[in-house]
Amino acid sequence: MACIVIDGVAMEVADGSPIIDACEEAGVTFGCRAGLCGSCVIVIESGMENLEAMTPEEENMGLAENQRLACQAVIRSGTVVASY
Amino acid sequence: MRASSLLFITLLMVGCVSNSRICTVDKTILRDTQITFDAKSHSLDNNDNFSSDGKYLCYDTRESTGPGIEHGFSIEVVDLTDNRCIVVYAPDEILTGATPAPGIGAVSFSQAAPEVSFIHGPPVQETKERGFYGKPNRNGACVRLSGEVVERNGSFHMLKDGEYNLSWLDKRDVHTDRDTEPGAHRGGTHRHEFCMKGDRIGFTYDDFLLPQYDRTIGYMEPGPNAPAPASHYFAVLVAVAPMGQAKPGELEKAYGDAWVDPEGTMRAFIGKIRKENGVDYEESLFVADMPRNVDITTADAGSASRYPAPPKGITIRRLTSTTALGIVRGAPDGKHIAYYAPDKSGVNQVFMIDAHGSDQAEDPALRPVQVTSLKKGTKDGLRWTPDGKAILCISDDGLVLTSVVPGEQFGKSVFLTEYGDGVNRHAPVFSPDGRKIAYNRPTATFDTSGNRVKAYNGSDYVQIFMLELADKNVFSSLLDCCANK
Repeated sequence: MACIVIDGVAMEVADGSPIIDACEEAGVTFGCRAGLCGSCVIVIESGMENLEAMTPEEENMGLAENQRLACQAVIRSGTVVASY
Repeated sequence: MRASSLLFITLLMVGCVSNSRICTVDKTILRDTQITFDAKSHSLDNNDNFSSDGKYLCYDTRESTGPGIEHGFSIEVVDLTDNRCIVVYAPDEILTGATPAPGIGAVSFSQAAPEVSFIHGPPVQETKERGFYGKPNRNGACVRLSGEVVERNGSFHMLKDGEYNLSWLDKRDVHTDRDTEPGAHRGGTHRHEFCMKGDRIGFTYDDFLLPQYDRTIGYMEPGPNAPAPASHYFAVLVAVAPMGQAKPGELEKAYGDAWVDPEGTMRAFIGKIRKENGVDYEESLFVADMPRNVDITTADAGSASRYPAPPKGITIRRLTSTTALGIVRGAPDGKHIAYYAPDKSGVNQVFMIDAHGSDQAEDPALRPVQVTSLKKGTKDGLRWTPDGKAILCISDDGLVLTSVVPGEQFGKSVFLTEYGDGVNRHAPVFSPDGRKIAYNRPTATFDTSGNRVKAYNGSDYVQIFMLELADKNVFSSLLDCCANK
């Protein structure tokens, strides 16, 4: 199992899974859930290498190097620590 | 006295609630000024209250001497250059109590001309024929702001040739022995809203001859075919089924409407529709498409046994298949519609959708997007900033602004006023330049002798307040303070 930690809340996620549900449970709010609005931008504090590559939607959002969209990101394995 | 009422509010951590999307504002200074003080209520309602040049703010005087619009006794404007309240229309005669007339209110400015539209119930001299004020017994009226301002008995009045400059927008023609006159109606029009272009006026409509029909929406256009003495030709926009008789997929009620685009070719509304099970109803978001080439004179005005029908060329689109609530609002560029809907927890939040979108669309860009995540939710006060970058609403009695700029800012909210204090702040409206927000709240009011005075029911009169940024920025710029989490 992988682990996503959002603002100190740790959630277990199956390897290779989207993190959207865990992030929502941890308090992240979502607008479109499709990578278009940017409501769910999270800041990755550590473990960026444990996330799959950015989706085209994330690339179009113009995110900073340490940001990802919680509705798009997929965790490979290991632990990712993020803030919202 | 009035200068001392100028209240500078420093918003320090006012938005600090448990939800991290409700951002805090540091050292942001707003000016919250009471601009009306007279011993009557000053109701902004849900209308376009600012004149296009931002000089005037229109309101009605309902809830002063009795309940509702039926006891509104004047249509007034505040001249924002000197805060003078000017009566632009008041009927010669008024009836109050259980049989009120005429009843005037719900006033809106045209953004294309210096004129206001409002509800006008039956003039007292017509009550023997028409009856007293009632929803299916109202006309649209118009006052053009021209002429001179004169002082009379201690109040200011705008008169032309010594009279208020009143004209009738629509004609009411109630007969059971013949068809309704083309271009006229047989009921009451309500909440008249000019499109930005100024010619088409949208409204809600209640029929008198066929009371088995619930409320629907309509529009009117000026032209030579308008039935005298009206300036505009009336038509319903949405054909509804009689109450309780809708088949699955049929509408029984349309309301909560607003223009979507500046051209006035889309009117969004909330429709009450029969569910597929043929028993239950749901209320969803719809748009009436009304291209400019629609000939309004092809509408059927109806008869005592035939409900009015829309003109040829009007089409209705359903945008949501789940619950939606209004009053809905079109974005300034006409590309999106904001509305209320329950979130996953069942709390009403602001949502937006592409004006040509649907929650059934394959393209995610055309599906609804949740805008707010307010702990106490919202169901009132929906307004777009004039630049379209943010949406205002009321939550927990406070005015709260939420960014709709795609990116990190999207969905972040900032409270502009105190909240959770039980003060009934309502009816906010932006000035056209986006730098002011007028809104209503009940406030302790005093007469010229310094005695506290109250409305007919013992409550404080509703006064108008103005939120204004101390600098030259527009309100949507306040969300910039949320850029850094």
